[in-house]
Amino acid sequence: MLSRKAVIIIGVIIIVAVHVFLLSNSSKRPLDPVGFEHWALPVVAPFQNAASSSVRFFRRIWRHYFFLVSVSQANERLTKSLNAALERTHACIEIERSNKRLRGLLQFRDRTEEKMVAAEVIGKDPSPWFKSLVIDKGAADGLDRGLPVIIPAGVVGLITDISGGYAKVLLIIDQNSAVDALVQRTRARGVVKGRASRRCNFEYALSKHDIKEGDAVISSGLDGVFPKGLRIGEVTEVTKRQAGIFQEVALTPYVDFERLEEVFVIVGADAGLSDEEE
Amino acid sequence: MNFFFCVFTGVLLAVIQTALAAVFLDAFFDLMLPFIVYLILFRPTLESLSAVIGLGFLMDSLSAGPAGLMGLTYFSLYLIMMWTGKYLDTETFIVFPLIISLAALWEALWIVCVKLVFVSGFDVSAETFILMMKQMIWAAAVGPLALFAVKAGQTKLNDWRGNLLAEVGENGGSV
Repeated sequence: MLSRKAVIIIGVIIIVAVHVFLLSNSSKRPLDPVGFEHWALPVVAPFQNAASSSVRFFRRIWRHYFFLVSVSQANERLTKSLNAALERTHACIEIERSNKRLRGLLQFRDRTEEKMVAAEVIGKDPSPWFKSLVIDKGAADGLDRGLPVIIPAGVVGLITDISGGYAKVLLIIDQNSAVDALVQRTRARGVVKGRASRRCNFEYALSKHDIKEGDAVISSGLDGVFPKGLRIGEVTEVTKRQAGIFQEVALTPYVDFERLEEVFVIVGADAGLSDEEE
Repeated sequence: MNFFFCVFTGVLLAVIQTALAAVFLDAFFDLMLPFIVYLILFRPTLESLSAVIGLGFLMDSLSAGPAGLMGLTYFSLYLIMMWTGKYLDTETFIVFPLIISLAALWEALWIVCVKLVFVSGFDVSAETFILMMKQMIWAAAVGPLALFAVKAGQTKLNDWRGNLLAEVGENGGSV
């Protein structure tokens, strides 16, 4: 028979080996769950839902009834912004009409046909070292792993794990995330990758391409996940080195990930369609 | 009963962490650490070991990090504390902020090491150290309170169970 010490040593080795196996396996394929991840979401998510609903309730009360000090100033500012926006809307309507006409000529399919499912954010990643969130829609609502998640401001991330009524979304600011993208103005291509802070890098952009601070970066649709033309972020820093074929481009996402409350999941995405048809 | 207490406390801490702390605080520490320190220092070996492994799986499945990372972190913490626990005076209040902040540092070091190995382009920057420091400060400030809350919860539960069993004994098996 084995001694008590030998049993302890064997036990420790087995536990460590199982964890190291899981770690190396899931690190190689971060978007492909090992298998046991599913059980915790349905157990914890209903409580997360209840807790975040309560927080939202008290936050609304605070915002709508107590936090009214600067409402008057905000009202003036918003009225001005609204006027500017109205002017811009008129210009956009004109552009939309000409765009529709041109699309019709080129037989492009209108991308607004994409089906979307609205969901509420009910929880965030337990560790500040990783960037993900939990939403209150899941497989029962027609969602699946790998579907893109957006808001009107821009791209949020993609679904990496799913249960019946809940899903886990990997944000584009997580270091495991990557989105094929292009600069809207010059069509320079690259890959948007998450960084340690709440920003992203626009990687593999060739030095010869013209990229300036303030340029908008949009999804290219070539990764097969995000439809073409979704807003991702604004270029905030460009560093060109003498040696090397790529330039370093820092990006600030349009989405404010700290204030995310509702998101849309694109269920009927048809990424890269325009390119194929072109 | 202890099993249900572990599950209830684990889920409660996970919900507080993900639905409250992560929403309002930028760099909050892992709230599961005080619970794990409590389990290691104050509970029997088999109970604490199984709970630590279970909590590792729970946090792994809620986090976007690689599976097994939190489990391995918690288990390594368990081994270290089982060894150092022989030399620690756990009755002294002052030692808990230090233990829990060191546990937070240990967890952060594990995460950074795993990111260095598996995440391409990850570099240790000033932000990394700032995040570590913030987590350690939070752990030192809030960790002992969480630990004492868990300890008080367990004591209350044990008292309630003791009273219930005594009552059953007095009534000859019927409550």
